[in-house]
Amino acid sequence: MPAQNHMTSSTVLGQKHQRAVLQKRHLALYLPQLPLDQWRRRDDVRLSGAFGVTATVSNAERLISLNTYASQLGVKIGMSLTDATAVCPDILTEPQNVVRQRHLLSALQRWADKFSPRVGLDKDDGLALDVTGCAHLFGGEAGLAQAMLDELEDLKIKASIGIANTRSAARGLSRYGGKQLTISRAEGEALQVTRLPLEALDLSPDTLINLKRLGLKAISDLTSFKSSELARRFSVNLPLALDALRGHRPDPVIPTAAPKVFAARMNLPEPIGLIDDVKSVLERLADRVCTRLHKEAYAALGFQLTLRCVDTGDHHLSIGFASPVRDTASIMRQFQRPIGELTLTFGADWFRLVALNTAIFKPTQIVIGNEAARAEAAIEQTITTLGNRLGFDRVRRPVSTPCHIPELEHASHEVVSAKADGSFDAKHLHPRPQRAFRPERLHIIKPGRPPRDFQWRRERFNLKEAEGPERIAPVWWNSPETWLAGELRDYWRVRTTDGRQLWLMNCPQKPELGWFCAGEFI
Amino acid sequence: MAYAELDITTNFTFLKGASHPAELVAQAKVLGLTSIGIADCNTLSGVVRAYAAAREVGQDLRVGARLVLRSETTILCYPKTLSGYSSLSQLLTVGKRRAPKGECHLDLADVIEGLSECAVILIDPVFAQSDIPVLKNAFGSDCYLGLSVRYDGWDQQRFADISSLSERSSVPLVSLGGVLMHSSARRRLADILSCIRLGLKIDALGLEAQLNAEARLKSEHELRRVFRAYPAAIANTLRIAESCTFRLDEIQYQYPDEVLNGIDPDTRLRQLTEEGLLWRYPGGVPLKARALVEKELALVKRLSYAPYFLTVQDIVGYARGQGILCQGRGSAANSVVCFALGITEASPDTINMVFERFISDVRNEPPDIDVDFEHERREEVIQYIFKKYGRDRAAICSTVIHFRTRSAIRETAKAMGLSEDNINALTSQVWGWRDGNVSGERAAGVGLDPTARRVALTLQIAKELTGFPRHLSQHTGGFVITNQRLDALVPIENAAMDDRTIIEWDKNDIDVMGMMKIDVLALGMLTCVRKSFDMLRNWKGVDVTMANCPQDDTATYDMICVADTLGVFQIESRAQMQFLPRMRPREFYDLIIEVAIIRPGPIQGDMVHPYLKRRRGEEPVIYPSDDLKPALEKTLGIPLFQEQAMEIASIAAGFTPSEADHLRRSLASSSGPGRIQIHRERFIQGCLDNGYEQTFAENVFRQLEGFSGYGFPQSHAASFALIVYVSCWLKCHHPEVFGCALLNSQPMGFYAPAQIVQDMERHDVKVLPICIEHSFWDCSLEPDGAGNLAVRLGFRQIKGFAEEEARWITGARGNGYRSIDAVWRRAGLKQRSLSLLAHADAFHIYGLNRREALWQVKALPRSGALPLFADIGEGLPEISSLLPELTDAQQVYEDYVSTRLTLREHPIKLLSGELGQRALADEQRDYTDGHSITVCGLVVTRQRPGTASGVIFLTLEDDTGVSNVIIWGSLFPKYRAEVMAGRLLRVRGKFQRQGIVTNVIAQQIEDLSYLLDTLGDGEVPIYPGYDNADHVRSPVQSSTSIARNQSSSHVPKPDLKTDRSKDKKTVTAYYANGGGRHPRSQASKLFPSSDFH
Repeated sequence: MPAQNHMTSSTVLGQKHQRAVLQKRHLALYLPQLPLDQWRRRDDVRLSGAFGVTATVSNAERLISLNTYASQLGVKIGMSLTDATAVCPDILTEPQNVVRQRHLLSALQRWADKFSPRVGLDKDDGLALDVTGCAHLFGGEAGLAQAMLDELEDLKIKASIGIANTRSAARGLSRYGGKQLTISRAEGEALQVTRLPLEALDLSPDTLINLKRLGLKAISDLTSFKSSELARRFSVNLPLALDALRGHRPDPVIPTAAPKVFAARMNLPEPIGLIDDVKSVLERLADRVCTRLHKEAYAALGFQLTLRCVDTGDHHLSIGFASPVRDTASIMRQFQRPIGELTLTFGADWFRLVALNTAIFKPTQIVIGNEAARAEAAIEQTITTLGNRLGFDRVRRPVSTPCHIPELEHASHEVVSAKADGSFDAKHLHPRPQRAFRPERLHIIKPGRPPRDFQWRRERFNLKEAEGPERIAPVWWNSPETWLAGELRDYWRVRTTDGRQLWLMNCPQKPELGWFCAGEFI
Repeated sequence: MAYAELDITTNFTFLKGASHPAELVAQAKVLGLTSIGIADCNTLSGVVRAYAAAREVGQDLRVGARLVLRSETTILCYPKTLSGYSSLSQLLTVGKRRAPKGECHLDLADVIEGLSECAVILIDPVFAQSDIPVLKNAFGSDCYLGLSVRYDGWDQQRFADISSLSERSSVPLVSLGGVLMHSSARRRLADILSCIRLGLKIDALGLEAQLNAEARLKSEHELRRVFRAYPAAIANTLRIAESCTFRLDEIQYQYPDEVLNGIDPDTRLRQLTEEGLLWRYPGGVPLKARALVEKELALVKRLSYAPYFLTVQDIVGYARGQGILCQGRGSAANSVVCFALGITEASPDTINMVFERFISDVRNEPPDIDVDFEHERREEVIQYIFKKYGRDRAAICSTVIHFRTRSAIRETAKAMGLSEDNINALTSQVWGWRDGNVSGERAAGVGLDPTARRVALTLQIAKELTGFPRHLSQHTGGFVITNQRLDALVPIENAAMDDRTIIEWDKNDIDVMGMMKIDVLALGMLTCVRKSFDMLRNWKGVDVTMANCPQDDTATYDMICVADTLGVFQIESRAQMQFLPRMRPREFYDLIIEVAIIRPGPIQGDMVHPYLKRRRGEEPVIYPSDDLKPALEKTLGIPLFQEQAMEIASIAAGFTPSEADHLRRSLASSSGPGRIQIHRERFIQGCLDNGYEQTFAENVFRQLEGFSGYGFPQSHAASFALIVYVSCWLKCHHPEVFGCALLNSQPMGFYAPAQIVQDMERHDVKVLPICIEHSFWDCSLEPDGAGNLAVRLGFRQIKGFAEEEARWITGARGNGYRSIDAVWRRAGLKQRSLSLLAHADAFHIYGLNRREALWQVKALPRSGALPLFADIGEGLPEISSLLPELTDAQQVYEDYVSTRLTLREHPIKLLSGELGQRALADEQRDYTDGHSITVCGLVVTRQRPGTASGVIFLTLEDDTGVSNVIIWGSLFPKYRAEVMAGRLLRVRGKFQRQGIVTNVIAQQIEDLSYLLDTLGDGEVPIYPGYDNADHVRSPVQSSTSIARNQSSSHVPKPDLKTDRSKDKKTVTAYYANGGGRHPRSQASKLFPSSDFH
């Protein structure tokens, strides 16, 4: 049969082909306690007792990582938090911090760069390295693995390593090899790997359970079945996974791209000390960085210039922007001031400019005659300038917050971090003066409620009419920060005989405190 | 000077009002307000409580409602007359019936059309100006505009605006206080309630927080000052209060007259009774019964209760006609009339009828008959009642769901922004707290600083929140039926369940209003008995009913005496089983006593041992006095029933019938022993007056105290005893039929299917495995080939299998399938269902083990068959023989995983090699007290009752039976992990025999659960416990069940100052109560003592 022939020949070809290529070697690094390692690295005192990390798995808080102390007390991974506290009431837990964990993992990925140029992520708790031709640099595979393990131990990260011909085999060995380090023999690997449990194949939980209920537990149990039989029952993923494990199917490490860095540096043969020279260096650096930003369609919210002075070492100058920027002129304008403040005695000979907070730049259409957009741009320009002069944390705008307490009705937010939301809540109808200030005590001449004749800021007032009170009770759920915050207050809008409108206040539960003026309506 | 506050919101505006109606009424009385009006948001559910509270303190009260329309227009509405009230109630019913549960959809047009003779007050008229002329047109001079004081700085401005509006539209003003709470101290709680309602944390509450604490009930003086510019508005409060002459007590509840074909109810009751007597006594009515009938009928006639009896008779008649088994109980059921009408089966020969004590002239209260129906078919009866009387005349009464300590802490802590961990820690400490004492020590115990502001606040507020109503739910089965329209008395709303409608009032409200309630309850054992009867008729041609079941059957009593009672009604619990051989019941009355005596009350009152001694002749039967002999004769001088307590009180202390009834109510009350103390003086003095000695009086009274809270009327015991007898008779003579019916009635009772099957096998009943060719959804009977009947397990035993799928299998089976492929094609089963069948080994008949079957099932396409092969199948490749064979142990393991029972060896037996030396459960009766003992077994239940001492009860099952293990609180911390997570335990300890109960007091505990996993592949761990019976592992569950048990007085009251002897007593009582029991056990439905007063 022609089809048959074709099959045979391709198989033969495949084998030949395989023999011809270099035998690949893969290293899998498994980090079983990554969620916990974060806390271990901080030397958290709670780790001296039972400690675990929880995550919400289908609406239930479950433990995903435990320290040895907790496991010794009978807590198991996968237990719900309530069960765990029933078993071990003293257990302390932290919810999983996925973001931090991802950061840690990608930091480890960069770290692993020194062992092999091809480093990929393996789910969220492991790394896969293609170590073909790398091991001899570390004294062989065992030396490489040991070097990694030693460094990880210094980093206080628990890890286990498997090394094998294929990525999945290495992965299986690292996770289910039972030892901290398992290195397959390059030749007899097939046998060693098939002894692993089925979990090593990274199948869907459903498939795994079904296979187990059929009594199939190790990978070797599957080898005697035809691929078609398995595929029919457990989808084609199962034979594919088996092939990947045996190396019959390519299963390369896919290195994840590192985040883009936009930087430029310059080494000068002689140190320079003149501000103008520094500026021209900066301009050339900024040109290069901006060109790259343009090319990649990126823009940055900040830049940092590092100067290495021959005598005083590194100096870092930073600037920020209210909106993303990628043009040299803007950068130059904002660096004007920090550079002007520099004092260079013996000069600097090494410069580096790096763009910070980069993101894909979304250009906006310029509409001719759009005054609002122009005004906006002008405001942003101002904010940028102010921010670079005063610090961005000092350029603030008031934002209304829903609260009954007058002094808490507005909060000031950093302009750059919080976008303006000037909309007042329609229900927010408290009568408030245009000018409000810290309550100032009145000198009462003729008492009343509110006083009929009083002196304030050395002026004398007579009451004409009053509206109120607006009674504001203190917030009970926080401890008061000032004496005022803890008092029940009555506010009155008062019109005096000479036409002034004042905002008077007293504390009805403490009349001995007297009357205050808290603001003036204009 | 006078003032009426008309704008009061109570906490029956759920999650908004921050005070109980009673608190508001009491505060109004203190402030000296002339009158107050309660108006909750679209509801009248709080009015009865307010009314009762007002009656108690003598506060003038108007009831009304705050109508919040869909347009957000808000109108306070106070009925002026009874018909005005009815129109309000009907309007709310209209709004609620068209909306989903808990909501009310009304428009202004509905109000104009539906409401009459009411005074209406428009709130915030500035925002609803267009509604003013419409309302004025409809209500004329009864229409007002509300001036609400808020202290928000706009009061004067607002008053001026509304006042000018009033002048323009010539609608008068009325001043309102906008009350949400009775005292300003509740502001915090009001904020927390807002948080819960809006799902916000307190820090994010913002403007939804209370501006100040002025939404409180204020004094007249204060309001006069605020409204000094509007004296007319103040005067109008009184005008409205005076014009609304309606009082809640004007509501005339009328029971349906039950006139049929023009025959008045008394005549009809007599007719039916006579017919019934002829049927009950074919040989002629005994004189005693005849006399009782006359006495009862005369009393019924005088109190006009005949319609009530006729209604019950009709419902029971309907159920009988549909073949639904039912049985009545309750105070009024304790009568010959009910016996003649077929409502109860307890004949006057067996028990003392003290009918007039329950229905007396003095007690102007409705009679009480509860009827139990088969739990699976009760819905038919409910729908029949709805159909017969119509939705506007019959409805189920509601139950107010309250915040309990645990939920109060949880919700408050959440609102206060405590973390999930802290909330768990706090609530986990509430284990069995009864009185809501959330002390700082407890918080400190879980590592929270009780002085930390938020924690302290949480504890304080949670305490206030506890007991607040949260929403309405439906009562377990209390029906209210009226002659006139029910919605004219109280609004009717939709329940969460389809086809159910409930009224807004709960059981207590109904009592206050003097409305009659018929309890239509569900009882699992009746389902089982009916199924047994059906099978007997079909398979054996034996026609048995509850009434004609052979009486005084020796074999049955023999069986009972050896405590072979697994699965039967009531006397199946461990304590009962251990008591039976000593009690040795020989006649029906013994069963009545048996049912009544093994209960916490008699045990705590120390009545069990004296009774047993007297019964066995080891102690002379002595009576406190000769006068009391007739009352106590049947129970050998030991008072066991409520009736006896009443008789003692009236004979010895000369209580009047109403006093005796009051005493009985105190005994039955769940509120603890405190209430009975008020009778003490009266009782002792009465005894002294009658010539008894002081010591005698005190002794008798102490005995009565003993079963306070647990009192049990004889009529109940008699009704239950009958079901006990019938179920025992069935088990004795037809074990296969009974077992099969019991399996088909699950979940119910104390035992899990595994134990029921084991028990059947012990009785030489052949139990056949689930089989694709022979099984049905239910377990069924089939000839075993040797002339007997065997039980075939049904598909219902397979975990997760759907009933509908089973119907497809049986429907398409014809002459059989003969292959998995055919099942798949013809029955159209999904692969998931086929996998479940394969896991359950249902294809064994094809010569396939479960793995081979699963291998085949997995090969079937997930979607439909390919068209070409639709009729003939795809000719699957032969089974792969490469699959590993299953060992015996693995088979057992798989059996447990898929059906929670096995017909093969008990897992413990398979492991006996590894378990080493151990005491078998059935050998334990030979051990002596204090013997050292080692027991091993599967953990089937694990409980920590509400005792503060933290004792834990474990039930371990081995291949021969169960052992009871007690773990003292002091040992628990050491073995916490083992106790909490273990599935197979080895316990070393001391054997203890406490009279009727044997226990192992644990000293050393070992978790051997890993051995269980060695049986199979350990992927799916076997949890041998009963479904959800595990109280300890899920604290939330336990709190509710403990709370429920306590309210129905099952678990003895925890005593904080616990010494060992006290512990022993509670332990005994705990077991007496059935010990670890199925949470869905009928107990909580059967013995809610609060249900029979």
